[in-house]
Amino acid sequence: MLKNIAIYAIGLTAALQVVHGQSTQVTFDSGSFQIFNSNTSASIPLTGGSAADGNGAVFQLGYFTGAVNGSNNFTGTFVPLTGQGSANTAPIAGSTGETMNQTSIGDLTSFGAGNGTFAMTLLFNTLDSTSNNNLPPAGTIMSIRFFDGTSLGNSNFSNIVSNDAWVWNAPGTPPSVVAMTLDDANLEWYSIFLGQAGNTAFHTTLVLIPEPSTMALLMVGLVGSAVWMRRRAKVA
Amino acid sequence: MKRSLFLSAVIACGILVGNLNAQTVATNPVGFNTSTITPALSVSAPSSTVVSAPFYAPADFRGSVSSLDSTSSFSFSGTPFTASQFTTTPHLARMVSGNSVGRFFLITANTTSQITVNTFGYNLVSGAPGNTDTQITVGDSCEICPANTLGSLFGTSSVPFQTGTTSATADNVYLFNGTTWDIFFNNGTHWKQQGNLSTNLDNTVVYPDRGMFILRRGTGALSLTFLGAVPYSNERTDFPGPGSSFKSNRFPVDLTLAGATNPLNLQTLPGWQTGTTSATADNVYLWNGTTWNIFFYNGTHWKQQGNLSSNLDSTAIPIGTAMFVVRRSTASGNNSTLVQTLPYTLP
Repeated sequence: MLKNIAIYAIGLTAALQVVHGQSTQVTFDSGSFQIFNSNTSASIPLTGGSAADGNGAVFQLGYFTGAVNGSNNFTGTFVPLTGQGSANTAPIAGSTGETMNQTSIGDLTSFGAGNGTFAMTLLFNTLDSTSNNNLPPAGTIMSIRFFDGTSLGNSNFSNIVSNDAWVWNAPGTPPSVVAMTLDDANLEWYSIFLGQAGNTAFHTTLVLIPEPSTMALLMVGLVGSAVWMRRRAKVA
Repeated sequence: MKRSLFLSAVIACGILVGNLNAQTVATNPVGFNTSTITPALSVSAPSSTVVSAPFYAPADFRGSVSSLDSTSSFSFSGTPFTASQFTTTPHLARMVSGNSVGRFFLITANTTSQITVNTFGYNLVSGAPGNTDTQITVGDSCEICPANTLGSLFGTSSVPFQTGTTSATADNVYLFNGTTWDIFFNNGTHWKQQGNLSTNLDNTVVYPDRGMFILRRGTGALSLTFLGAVPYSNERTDFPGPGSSFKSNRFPVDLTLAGATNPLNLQTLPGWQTGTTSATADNVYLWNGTTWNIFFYNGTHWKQQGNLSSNLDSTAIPIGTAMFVVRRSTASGNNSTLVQTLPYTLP
């Protein structure tokens, strides 16, 4: 309780710089770890892209809709607050022009991130339409989702990491704080939760399954092809 | 928070010393202040305390400006410096006379006679003082002193705080950067920042006008003692808006919002927004140990949200603490500057 009071109280300003809303600050980094691709027998870090921010392998800060302490952290649907697929587009302070929907491995370069690593602070303000989309209820456990490609379209594998201590705090003034690092004890990896080996931690080993809409398009294409081939056969 | 102030036996007041390559070194009155940090109930139930360091490090140099060289640089007569001597570790240039008395600037480069500073948006050479101009003129007195840093205030490999490998296990020092909190912790060797992979942030500057929020995870008693040169001139503090700032008390005495004794008088700032509720006025947040007390000026007196008392002008901003100032009003440059008169007389 005291912790909550303290953290809420510490929250107060960020977006107040421009907008007088209440805000939650998420400060997170990879600590002393790197994130690697799907090859668990090798150590090939996910690309951090160039020195510019926002062009490395995609990662999303987000949460599962049913993730609260007492449940498992991967219950429900994953909602991205940042990275490709996110509705938040606020600029990221300290970056080279990156916006919230562009978070990637290697960000922010100015904070020492490179291949396989990340470090940044994001501010979500209740009155800022570029950073207030899909904010979770207080108490929701946060997660970070990694992809092995620089866009969702060219990614084949992913993984998600979470921690019971990564709890979303209600926006406040000054900003409330959520501090997350891969150095934190008791990380939980989605791959291990799904039954994969322990060495899949820090690796993107989950095969990406095409979205239902993609599958539907694929089916339409296959049916269309079949019809066309049948007609062609009849003509012949 | 318990605290004490002791203006030590004055080592010397005013200018003492010698002439080292035309360099004048001054020794000012020194003092110390002790802030008691509330112990945590446990690592996962930390306590929170607001502190500030009301002293400067002793000056390395004092001299008169001999020329203004650019919007951000000026020089002194002779060759009183060694090139880059003020950037190996952070140093401040503090104006102690002239129009900018009480302002400080971080030195970003120096030659043997010239310093270049971070002006924080001001233009040093503007001929006409304006809303965003700080005018330094030839002959103004400037003091150069080491900046307070996390390393200089608290140590590097030996600190009074609970150390840890992450901010979740160590005591934290929160510094507000104008938008978000920068969260620092000591890993037993160096200062590190949550969300920053740099290995050594010992030289992170704690500016004289900034407050610190201490998140204590250690369960033992902790006292922080701040030692240094006592401010001996007026101080200038900027409260820009719209926006927020976490500002220190600036002087080693208790201030009041607008009381008879040592009033801060933020309401005298140009454009300070008054209102009948805290939701419409500019606000001052004071930490009470567990929550923020929110104050606003109604045009006549300071009031507190959730408190029906009609006059809270004498509310204290204690020595060694800080305040969160949230401005809805628009103010920048000199229009956001509060000139704080020296509240005591030095021997």
